[in-house]
Amino acid sequence: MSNDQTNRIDTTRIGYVRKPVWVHPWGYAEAFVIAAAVLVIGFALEWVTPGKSLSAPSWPWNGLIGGVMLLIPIVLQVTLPKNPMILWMSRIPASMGAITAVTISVLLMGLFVQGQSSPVAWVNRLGLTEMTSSWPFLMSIAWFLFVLGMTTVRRSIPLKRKNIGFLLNHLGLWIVVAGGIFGSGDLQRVTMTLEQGQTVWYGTDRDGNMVEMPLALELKRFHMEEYPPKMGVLNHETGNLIVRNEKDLVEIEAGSTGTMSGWHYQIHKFYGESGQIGDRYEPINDYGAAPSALVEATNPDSGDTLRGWISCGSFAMKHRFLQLNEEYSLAMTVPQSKRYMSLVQLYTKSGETGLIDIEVNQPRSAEGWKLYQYSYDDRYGKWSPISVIEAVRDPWLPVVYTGFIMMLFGAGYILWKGKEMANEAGEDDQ
Amino acid sequence: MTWTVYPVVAAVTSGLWGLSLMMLLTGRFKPKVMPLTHLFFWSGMLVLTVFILGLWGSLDRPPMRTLGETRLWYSFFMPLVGYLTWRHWGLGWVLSYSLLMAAVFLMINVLNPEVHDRALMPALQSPWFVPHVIVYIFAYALLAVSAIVAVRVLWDDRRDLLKPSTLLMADNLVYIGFAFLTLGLIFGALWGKEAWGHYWNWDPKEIWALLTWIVYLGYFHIRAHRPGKVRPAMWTLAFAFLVLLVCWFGVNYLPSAQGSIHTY
Ligand code: HEM
Repeated sequence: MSNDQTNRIDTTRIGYVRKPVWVHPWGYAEAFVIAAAVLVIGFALEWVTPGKSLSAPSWPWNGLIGGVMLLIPIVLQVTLPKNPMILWMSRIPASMGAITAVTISVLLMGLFVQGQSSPVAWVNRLGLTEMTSSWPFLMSIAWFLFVLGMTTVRRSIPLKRKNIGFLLNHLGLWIVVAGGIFGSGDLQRVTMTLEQGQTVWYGTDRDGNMVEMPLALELKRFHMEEYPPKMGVLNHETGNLIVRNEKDLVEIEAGSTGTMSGWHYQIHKFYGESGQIGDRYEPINDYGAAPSALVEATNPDSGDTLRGWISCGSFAMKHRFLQLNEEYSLAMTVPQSKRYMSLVQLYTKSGETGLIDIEVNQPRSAEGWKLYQYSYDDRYGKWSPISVIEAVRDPWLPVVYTGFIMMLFGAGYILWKGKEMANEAGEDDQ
Repeated sequence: MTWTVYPVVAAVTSGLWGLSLMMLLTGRFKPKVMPLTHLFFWSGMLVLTVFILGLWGSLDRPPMRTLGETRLWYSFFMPLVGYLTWRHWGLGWVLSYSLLMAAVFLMINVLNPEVHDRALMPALQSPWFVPHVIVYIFAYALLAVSAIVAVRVLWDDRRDLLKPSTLLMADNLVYIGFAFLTLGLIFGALWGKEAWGHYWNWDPKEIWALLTWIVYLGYFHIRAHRPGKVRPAMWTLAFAFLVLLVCWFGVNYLPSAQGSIHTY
């Protein structure tokens, strides 16, 4: 398929002469020195301006800076296409340097806990716990966007059909990164805490500031469905359930039988919502009703049989175990939520009103905002008196999605063409 | 079908694949047994497929939530990638290694039994869930094979036995694997927008997925720059797989990942 590949392997290995650094044509050495300088200067800036976290500029400044970052490569490539420095900046060594600088800042972000200050002073001072708003991160991204821009523009003049895959990937990525970084200046995320019967038209942003909204929400009902609770054997000493394999934690279902830690059990009754009446539980659907089950357990050695109720309780009711012996009890786990949603009355400034349901994974749009089911009071579970809705406004989303679509087609192109792409580059470059 | 029968499934599948390997090796001397390689291979695949579908049915949700479940899919895709590479390039050793790796992953699941758990937290109940996970695990399987090939290239290169076809295979595996990695990343972002309000949250798992993606990006730019110099690129490729493993399993152990939305 590719015989020239074999020839290249031999020819490039011999006759490689070492060139002094900073003598054109530049290569990898210069690329990594510059990448290191970008990071070092970034950390130095961070060190001398402690406590000042950077925030992305908002419209129109972010648009302006983004536009300038788009223009510079075009102007440079059009006016100075033969300049050795410009050439170097649009080739792979410079790219690898920029990619490495970004990788290092992302790696640091992956290693240090983000968003909470560290007990080690210099870690905080270098901005390692707030990487996304630190100088080294932003400077490496800026250098990265610049080099990627230079590369992309160079390959687009003149525009050739065979470069379509290259453009989809490189321009697509540029748009995604630029759109994401600059767009963060206009991104608004506001949580609105709703209580039944109250109309709320303000929220709290991530810095704790109050924000007045162009829309108001009134919680009609918070609704949650749960998975059935599970039953397991509790070790009194450790306070934990014994879970060695899947037979040790079973979903509770009336009529089911089995063996757990040597005890044979049988579940006689199961109520999803019940209340305690004397020594029994009876189905009720009051506020705060808890699941309960009537179980029977037989000790295989002594043949003793125990019978009794278990319940995981709720905020309003106590939990209940069935004690097997000194060490162990049968216990019920708190059910996990399956889905939850809020039924909300919406009012907008433009006069639009309506009843909407907001569920996890199914946000609703209104007045340029997207509304998400965010959380609830988990002490109360499905009886939660409040529901927290997050409202998100991201005017740059279409930009970023344009980049995503280009990259999706770019990935399709790579799948289609495979290795042929790199061979094309080889012809152009070497 | 649940995890209770899993040890039997793992044993039968690995056994069939073992037989397939033996036939592949003997096939070199006795071409007549070659068809048995295919027969045993596909029988093993069939057993595993039936188990995965059965598990899916009994769980009432896609079996893609826990690490053990993702390992299952990996053991499913790994041999497929190996088989296709073998058929396409005629290199039997690729199939051998991928079958071996798949069997190891099947065994890990026997040693770490999981609890039968139907619960699927609401944020995971999305049409993006299945494509996101499948695309990723498929990419992981391709890239694992590419790492094996990279080691082979380095080994052959040292002894001056490097064949261009081996190199070409490494490149192609990475190209396809990388394309799927990109799809996985973007599907994840689109899903994140629906589930968490933003397409990128700098969550530890996202950070490591990005790092993995970047290292592979580095690989083929290094490759494209000087196609004749293979060693730096192949070291990058082998190293990239380590980053991938950190992303897949290691992230759960990093202090920075406590409180991640992706822990499982
Ligand atoms: C989605 C991400 C990317 C993909 C899929 C990708 C893919 C490729 C491929 C396949 C080639 C070689 C074949 C060709 O020239 O068409 C290439 C070349 C190149 N890439 Fe990328 N790349 C990506 C991101 C980047 C980034 C982030 C940079 C720089 C910061 C970069 C800089 C370059 C350069 C300088 C070349 C050589 C261009 C030339 O020789 O004309 N790429 N890229």
